[in-house]
Amino acid sequence: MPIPGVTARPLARTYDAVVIGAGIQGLATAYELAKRGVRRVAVLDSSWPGGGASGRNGELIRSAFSSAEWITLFDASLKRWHQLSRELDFNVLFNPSGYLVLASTEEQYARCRADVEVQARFGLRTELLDQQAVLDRVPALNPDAVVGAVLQPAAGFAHHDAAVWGYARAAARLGVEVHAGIEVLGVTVRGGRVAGVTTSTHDVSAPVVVNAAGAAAGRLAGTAGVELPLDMARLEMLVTESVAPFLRPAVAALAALGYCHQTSRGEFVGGTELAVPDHTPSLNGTYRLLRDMAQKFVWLFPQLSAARVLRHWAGLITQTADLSPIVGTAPGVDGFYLSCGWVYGFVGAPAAAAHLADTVCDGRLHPTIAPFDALRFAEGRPIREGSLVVPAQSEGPGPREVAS
Amino acid sequence: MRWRRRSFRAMPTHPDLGADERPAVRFRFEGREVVAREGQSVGAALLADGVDILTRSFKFHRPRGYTCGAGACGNCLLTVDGLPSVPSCVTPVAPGLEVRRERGWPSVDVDVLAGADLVSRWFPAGFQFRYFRQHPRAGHAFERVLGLLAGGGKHLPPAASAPVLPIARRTCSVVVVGAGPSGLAAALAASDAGADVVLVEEQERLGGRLRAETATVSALGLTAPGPRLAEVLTERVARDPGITLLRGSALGWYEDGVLPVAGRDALHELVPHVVVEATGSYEAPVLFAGNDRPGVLLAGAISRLFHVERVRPGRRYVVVACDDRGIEHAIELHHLGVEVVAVVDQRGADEAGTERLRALAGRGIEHLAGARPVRSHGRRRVRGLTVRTGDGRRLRLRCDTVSVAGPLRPSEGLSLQRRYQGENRLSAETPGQDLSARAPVLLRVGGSAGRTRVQDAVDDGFDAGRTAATAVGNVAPFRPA
Ligand SMILES: Cc1cc2nc3c(=O)[nH]c(=O)nc-3n(C[C@H](O)[C@H](O)[C@H](O)COP(=O)(O)OP(=O)(O)OC[C@H]3O[C@@H](n4cnc5c(N)ncnc54)[C@H](O)[C@@H]3O)c2cc1C
Ligand code: FES
Repeated sequence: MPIPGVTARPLARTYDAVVIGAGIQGLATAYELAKRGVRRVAVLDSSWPGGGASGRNGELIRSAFSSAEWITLFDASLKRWHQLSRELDFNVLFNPSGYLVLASTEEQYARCRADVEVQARFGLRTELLDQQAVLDRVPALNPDAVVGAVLQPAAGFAHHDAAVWGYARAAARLGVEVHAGIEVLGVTVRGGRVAGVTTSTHDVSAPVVVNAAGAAAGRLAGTAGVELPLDMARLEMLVTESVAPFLRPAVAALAALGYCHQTSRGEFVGGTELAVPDHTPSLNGTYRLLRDMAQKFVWLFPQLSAARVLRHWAGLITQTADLSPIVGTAPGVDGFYLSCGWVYGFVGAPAAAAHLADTVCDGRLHPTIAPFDALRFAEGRPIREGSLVVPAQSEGPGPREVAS
Repeated sequence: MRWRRRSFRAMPTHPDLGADERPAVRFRFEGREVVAREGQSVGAALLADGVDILTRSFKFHRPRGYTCGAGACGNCLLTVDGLPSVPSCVTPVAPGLEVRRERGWPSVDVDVLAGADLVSRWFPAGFQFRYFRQHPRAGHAFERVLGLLAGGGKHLPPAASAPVLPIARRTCSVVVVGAGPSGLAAALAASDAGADVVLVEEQERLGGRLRAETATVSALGLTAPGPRLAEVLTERVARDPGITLLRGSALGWYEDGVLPVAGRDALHELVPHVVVEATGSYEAPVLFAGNDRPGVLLAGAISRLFHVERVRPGRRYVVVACDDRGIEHAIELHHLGVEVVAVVDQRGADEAGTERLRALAGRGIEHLAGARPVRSHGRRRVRGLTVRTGDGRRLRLRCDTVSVAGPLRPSEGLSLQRRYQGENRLSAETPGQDLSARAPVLLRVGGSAGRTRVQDAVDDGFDAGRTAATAVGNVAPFRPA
C-alpha cells in the first residue's frame, strides 16, 4: 500500500537538497525549501514519515517558556500552528484548548509566578492561576496535586500524525520527493563543502544536506566530522480508551514530570519521565514507565483509575546539555545544515523549518534561530531555559532545567 | 416482542447437558430486574432477556450487540456497578449488579444520533482531516460537539469505580498464561516435573475452549467430552500444591523480565524464568456490509452461548464458512435443534469433503459453494443476508442469526511483543533489547501456536509443561496419573 505523501519514483543520483529524516522537522524544512523555490528536494527516511519521535510524541504545543530565545522561536511557531491547517490544506487537528503548567508545590508555584512576569515582558498572553482557578477549569484534578498553574490560552495540542501527513502531502504537491525505507549511511564532505550522502541504495550528490535525523542525528553529523554534544533519550507515552470529556486544556505537571491531554474523541494521552534520563537506544515500551505513568496520572486524575490503557509506546529523541535544539549551519562544513537535539520539536517545527529554509536560501543565519547554534556548548554560552518539565542533568551555569 | 424472544432464547433443557439446574441470579438492568442463571455472563443474560442492542458504534452510532463472546471485539461494553466500558460477555452475573448501557441519546435503544449513520456518505472515514481545514474555528466547534457525543462511559466518583491496587512482586520458575486446554495441561505437567508454577487466567471458569467442545478429548488417561474434562483438569489444578492460580490479565512480558498481571485485588509483578503462552486463538470476522449488525455473531460465540451460557441466540441461522470448522458448526447447530438455512462456504465445491457435504444434505442444510456474504439486512437486528453465489447470482436468505466461522488467529500477543522487543530498532546502532538474557524461554502452545483441534492443544500443553520444567533446571520425568 502506498504511504500518502511518499513518492513512487526511484531515488535519483543528484538533488538540489537532501533532507535526512522524514520527521516533522525534515518534512517541514523540505516543504519550506520548496516553497522558497528550491527545485529538486528529496527527503530520505530509513523508516517512514513520522516513524520517529514525530509520530510518537505527546502532541503538546505551547510557547509560554521563560527565556528570550525560546519564547521568540516557539511563539513564532505557535502563530504558525494556528494557521497550519489552512496553509497545508489539511486539517492537522490543532486544538487551541489552552495549556496549563501545573505547580504542585509552593516552590513550583513561585517559579510559575516568575515565568508569567517574564512572559508578559515578551508580550505573551499568559495568566497565573491559583488553586481554585485551576480546579474551576479542571474539576477532575486531585486538589492535593494543585497549588496553582500558568495558563496559556492560545496554546494546546494537535494530532501528530496529521501534522506529519499534512507536511508530507503539501511538500509532495510542491514537487518534493519523500523516500521511505532508505537509510542514509553517511554525509560526504569534500574540501570543507558537503558533497552529498551515501545511502543503503546508492550515493546521492547534493550541494545542500539537512540533518534532521532525530535520534540518529548525532551519529550522522559525526560522519561529516561534525561532533555534536547529543545524548539519546527514550521517552514513553500511553493512551487510554475513550472516556467522557473531563480534561479540556493540555497539562504539563511539574511534580509528575509528565504531560497529557484528552483528545476530542475522548482518549486520554499522556507521558511521564524519570528524573534520570533513560539512554537505552530502543523503541520498547518498558513496564517501569507504564507503572510510573499509571501511578502519576491516577494521582493527578483519580477517576482515571477506572480507565483502561489501549496502547503504550516509546520514542527516541536526542537532547543537548541545555535541552535546547541545535538549528542552523554545521560548523566547518559548508552546505550542511542541522535541525536536531529537539526535545520540543513538535511545537517548534513550523517556525524552525521556515527560518532554517530562510538560512539556506539567504545564505545568512536567521536571527530567530541564531541563538540555537552548534558552537554554543564549546564556547560556554548555553541557553538558560528554566520552565521545562524535567530538570536537565547538566551541571551547567543555567538554572535547573526541564525537558518536554 | 422482547417477551417472545426471551421465551425462546432461554434453554431450560440442552440435548447433551440435560436440564438447567443452575440457581437464579437477579440483577438490575436500567431500572428493571433481569433473572439470569448462575455462571452466565451479563452479556449473555441480557441477550437471553431479549436485549439485542448493547452499545452503539463510536462515530456513526450504529447498533452493536453480542458478537465474539470472548471479550475481544468491544461490541458489548456496558457500565457495570459504575465501572464504565466493561466487556459484559466475559463478566459474570452477580446478585444485585447495576448494569446500564452507555452510548446513544436519549437512550441506546432510541438513539437519534443514529442519524449520523445515514449521513455517513458525507462524513466518510477520516473526514476530520479533510473538512474544516480552511475553517479552523468551525473545526474547533465541531470537535467539541464530537467530543461530547463520542466520549464513552461516564465516570462515577473515583473511590466507587476502581480502587488503586497494591503491588505484589514475586519470582517463580514457570508462568503459564491462559487456562484453556493447553494451559491447564502445561501447568499440570510443569508442576508434576517439579516446577513452581503460576497459572494466570482472566476468566471466571477455567477450561477455555474445552467448555464448548462437543467431541471427546483425552488427557491423563481419561477420555471424556470437553466440559467434563475441563472439570477434571480444573479440579486437578486446584489440588496441585505446585500450582498457584492467579486471576487476572497478563499485560505483557517486558524487557526487565517483569510479567505484570492485573489481578482483582493486586497488581502482581511476576518475574518468571520460563513463560508458557497458552492464550488460545481468536476468531477473525469476515468482511461484508453490515457485519456489525446485532444478530451477526462469531461461530465460537454461538457455541459458547449454547454450551456454556445455555442461551439460544436465534431460530434461523445462516453459517458463513471458510473451512471445515464452519460445516461442523452447522451440523452442531442442527443437532442443537435450531434451523440452519444454509452454509455460505467461501471455498469452491471440490474443497469441502464429500462426506461433510453429504452430512449437510442429509440434514436439509443447503451448501452454497464458492459463495460469499454481501450484506446483512434488518434495522435493529438481522432479518436476512444477501449472498453472491459461486455462479454469480445474488440470493437473499431469510434468517435471524448469521454465524460467522472465520479463520482462527493465534492469540500470540506475548510472543509478538517479545519478538518486537528483539527487532525494535531504529538503525544499526539502536538495537532492541534482547530479552533472552534475563528471561530465557517463552514457549507458545495450543491455539496460540496455531493448533485448531482441542486434542492437539492438550497434547501440546503436556509437552510444553515438561519442557518448561526442564528449562528451569528441574529435570524430572513427567508421570501421567
Ligand atoms: C514520548 C515523546 C513525547 C514527546 N512530547 C512532545 C510534546 O508534547 N511536544 C513537543 O513539542 N515535542 C514532544 N516530543 C519531542 C518531539 O517529538 C521531537 O522533538 C520531534 O518529533 C523531533 O522531530 P524530528 O523530525 O527532528 O525527529 P524524528 O521525528 O525522530 O524524525 C527523524 C527521522 O529520521 C529518520 N532517520 C534516522 N536515522 C536515519 C538514517 N540514517 N537515514 C534516514 N533516515 C533516518 C527516522 O526514521 C525518523 O523518521 C516528544 C517526544 C517523545 C519521544
Ligand atoms: S467483547 Fe463482548 S461480545 Fe465481543
